[in-house]
Amino acid sequence: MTSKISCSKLFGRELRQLAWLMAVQAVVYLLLIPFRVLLSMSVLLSGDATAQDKLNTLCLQIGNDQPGNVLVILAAGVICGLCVFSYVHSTIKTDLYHSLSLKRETLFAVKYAAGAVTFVVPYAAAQALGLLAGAMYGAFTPMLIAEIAVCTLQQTLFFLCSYSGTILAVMMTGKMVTSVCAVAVLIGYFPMFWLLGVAYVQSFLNSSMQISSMTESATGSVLRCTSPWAFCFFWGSGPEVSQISYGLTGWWPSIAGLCQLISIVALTSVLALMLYRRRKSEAAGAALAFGKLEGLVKVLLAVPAALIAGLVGSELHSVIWEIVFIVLFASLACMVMEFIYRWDIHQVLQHKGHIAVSVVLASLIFFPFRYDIGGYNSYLPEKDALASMAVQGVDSTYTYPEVQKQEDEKEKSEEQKNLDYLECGQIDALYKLAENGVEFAQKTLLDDYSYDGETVAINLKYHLKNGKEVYRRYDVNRELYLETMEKLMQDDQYKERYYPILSMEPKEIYQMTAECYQENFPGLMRYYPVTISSSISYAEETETEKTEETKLEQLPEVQTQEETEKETAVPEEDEDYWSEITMWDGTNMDYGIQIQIPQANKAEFLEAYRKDMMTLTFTQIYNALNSLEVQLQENRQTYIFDRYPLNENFKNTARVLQKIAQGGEDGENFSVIYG
Amino acid sequence: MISIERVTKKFGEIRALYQVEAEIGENSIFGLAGTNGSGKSTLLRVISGVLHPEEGQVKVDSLPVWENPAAKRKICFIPDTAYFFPNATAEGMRDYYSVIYPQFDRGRFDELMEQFNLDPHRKIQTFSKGMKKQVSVLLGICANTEYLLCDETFDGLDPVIRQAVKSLFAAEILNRTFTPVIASHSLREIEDICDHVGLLHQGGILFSRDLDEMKLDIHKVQCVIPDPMKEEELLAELEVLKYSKRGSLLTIVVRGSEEEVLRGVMEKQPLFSEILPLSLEEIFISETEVAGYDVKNLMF
Repeated sequence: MTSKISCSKLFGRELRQLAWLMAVQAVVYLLLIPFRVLLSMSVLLSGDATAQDKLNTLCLQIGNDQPGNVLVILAAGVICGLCVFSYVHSTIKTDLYHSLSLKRETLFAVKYAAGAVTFVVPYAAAQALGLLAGAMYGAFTPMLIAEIAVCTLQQTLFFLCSYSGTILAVMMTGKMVTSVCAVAVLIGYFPMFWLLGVAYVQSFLNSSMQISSMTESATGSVLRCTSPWAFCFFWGSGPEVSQISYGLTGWWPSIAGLCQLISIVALTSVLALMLYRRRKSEAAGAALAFGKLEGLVKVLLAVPAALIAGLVGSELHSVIWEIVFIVLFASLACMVMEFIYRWDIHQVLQHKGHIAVSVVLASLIFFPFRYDIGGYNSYLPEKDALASMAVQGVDSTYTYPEVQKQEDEKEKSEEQKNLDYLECGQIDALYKLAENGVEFAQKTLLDDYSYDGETVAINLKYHLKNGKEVYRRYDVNRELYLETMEKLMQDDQYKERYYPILSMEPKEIYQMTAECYQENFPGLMRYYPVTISSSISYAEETETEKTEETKLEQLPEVQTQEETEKETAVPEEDEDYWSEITMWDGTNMDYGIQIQIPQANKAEFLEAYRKDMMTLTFTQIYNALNSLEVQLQENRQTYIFDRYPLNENFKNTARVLQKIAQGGEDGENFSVIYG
Repeated sequence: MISIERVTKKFGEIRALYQVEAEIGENSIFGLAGTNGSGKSTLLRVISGVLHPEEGQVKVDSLPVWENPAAKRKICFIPDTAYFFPNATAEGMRDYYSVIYPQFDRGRFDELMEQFNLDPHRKIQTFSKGMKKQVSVLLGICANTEYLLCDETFDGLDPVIRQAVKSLFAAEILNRTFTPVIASHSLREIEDICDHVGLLHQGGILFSRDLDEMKLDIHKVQCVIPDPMKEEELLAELEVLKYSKRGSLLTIVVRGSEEEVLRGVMEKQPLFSEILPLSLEEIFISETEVAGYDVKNLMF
């Protein structure tokens, strides 16, 4: 009767074989965590540092919000995966391992566990030592222990994501070189494909409104789903962010997020194991473990290469060059792949069919985009078919409380929802704008077209009588845009709808800040007793250099509203107050003041602003700088705010700003800003 | 017993084994001979469960080998180039083998290392090719499995060590249930040590027989038969594998019992006749020639 192999003993022996890997990682993590903590605590902290300062310094080096550590851990996962499972690339090693009286899954599990332990032990030890190093300097709370423990768990899962993903790549290949390439492909292929899609939409579907939402989500919800590595790297940028609370060392991972990580580890590991079971021992030494996939992999890599080339070629505005670029780069990509497969330069032109398939597939994607074969940019429904339309300037988007209250329609972007809200029946005026936009979109796509006049980017919605809704973004003639908007804004109700601040109650607004520069408020500065800090180095020839601080003239006593109305709205501009600051390098710097509207003046300010907005023409409003920052109560926990137009033409508003300035000291209601 | 049942193994377009059928009995030394590229190493890898055949299967004591730890436990495979861990010593490999082969006899290994004059503390990577081979053979023998698959085991061993290994195999067979399977292109080695021989040719097995039986069944006869008619009758009557004639001296390799062959020759009233001993190499060449492997084309 023969005995079974003891898995625990085998695990011990495997771990002994991997001792070097554990030692290397131990050195790296000791330098990365405890050593860095000690260094930063001793260098950055001064003698009078508070307990909070110490804690903050420690938390910058250790914990959940350390992207540098995450990168090192992901790299460690790749290296461990390649080292531990590289035996499948060698016939000599598979002769030993695959002749053992073990099922492949048992061998896989033993190897996997041994590789994982080479990370877990030194990393956990380094985290504990980091904590101890911090405690030596007095940076310690019980919460920190919990946070570091959870962080160690989370980052172990990051490691396992990277490790399992790498094993998956190793199982698909038969050589170390191709394994490394496969890891690179698994990390970068889908993000690259996504970015390529964004570039195509941006370049060829130039009337698409999706582009901003595509790029916004690219770093977040989309990219994080493209590979285990991306999921870890973009950890915290997903939809669960709002549910995550901020701890001492960064984001606390949510249970849902940790479960997602565990699922990814489980999925990639099971997939790797399935491939290992199907993989033949004789695949060692071949480029790919599954030879039948060679053609498919080649085409899948050659097509994006050709698409990138096509995109570059399209800049030349010549169909011949576009074809040349696609054919050339598809062929080159196929030849490089064939060389990687065969490692023989004489065989790079084998399987010409793959080149043909790649060229055809790339062409089938490229040319419909390039020449708008689907008629995306030229889309313009019949005027009679339209039930309503909507328009909004790209640079004048606002938070509409009514839109915010709507149920979340995931398929619609914020801009689309805004257009839904702004629909109106002025089809004749808006249709002209649409025609202009379509004409411009077609010309810029096909020719190297440059428009002499000034253009404005707008979002437009077609709502057809049959219920169909189509959204587009166009560049249109500025004059036509202003003319159209003037027509629409003649309707006060539409204007109030377009600018949500006009119908808001003061309690709906969390805070308002006006930025007043010489450009938008040339005369306002003289009302403010501003002290300009001398921390800026002045050029020798400037007058301001003579004194360390320049105290600006104090205004006389506060005027009542009646008095100010009798006078000119804004006093004469005083050159002395508004002289530009010349920097050490000779460049000029504009400066101004930022006025925070106090709670007491909110209602008055809003009333004055509303009065101005309703009086001014759209052109006057449009020409004003967007220098009024408005943050709604519902956005108070975020950095989301709207920017409304404001300048000296807003006379009633300017008066309220004067009053606010005269009622407070520098730093209380306002501060100096440099622009 | 190892049963090889219609095993076919392909590497892409190359068919390494085709419908191979053989049985390897217990407590005998099985020699696997064959031409270069005939599939000897592939067959050993299939038997040890390293490779999975596209068709057929291998059974060890009625248990299928593929992904079956119970069957694989009975086998130890020593490939042509054995794997030793980087910087490993023979002692370190002994420890590893004692984990992967739980019945590994550490004491005997140490004893044999001493007898073979090998330093167990020296790094294996500093050993010569022959010394590495010795270590791998000793590891295989001490693994104490019922079947030991050796690929080109004697390649690189000096004559003294070769004899020592042969006697070691013989001693093991006497002491326990032990069946070494030795793949080699050196027919002299196989002839010296093996009881049973399988001959692989172009991925197929030509024959698998007991060596003595094979020698009893195939003979080389030299004779002079004055009557050309009778000579032709003789060639037609016997199962001739090969014949040549120099002057009136006829040399034939024939299959059949010695008695039958002699009787047949004597009936033709030869002036002279004698049966010559036939080496395994000659048997191999004759058989492969019959199978279409023309040795004459390779004589320069």
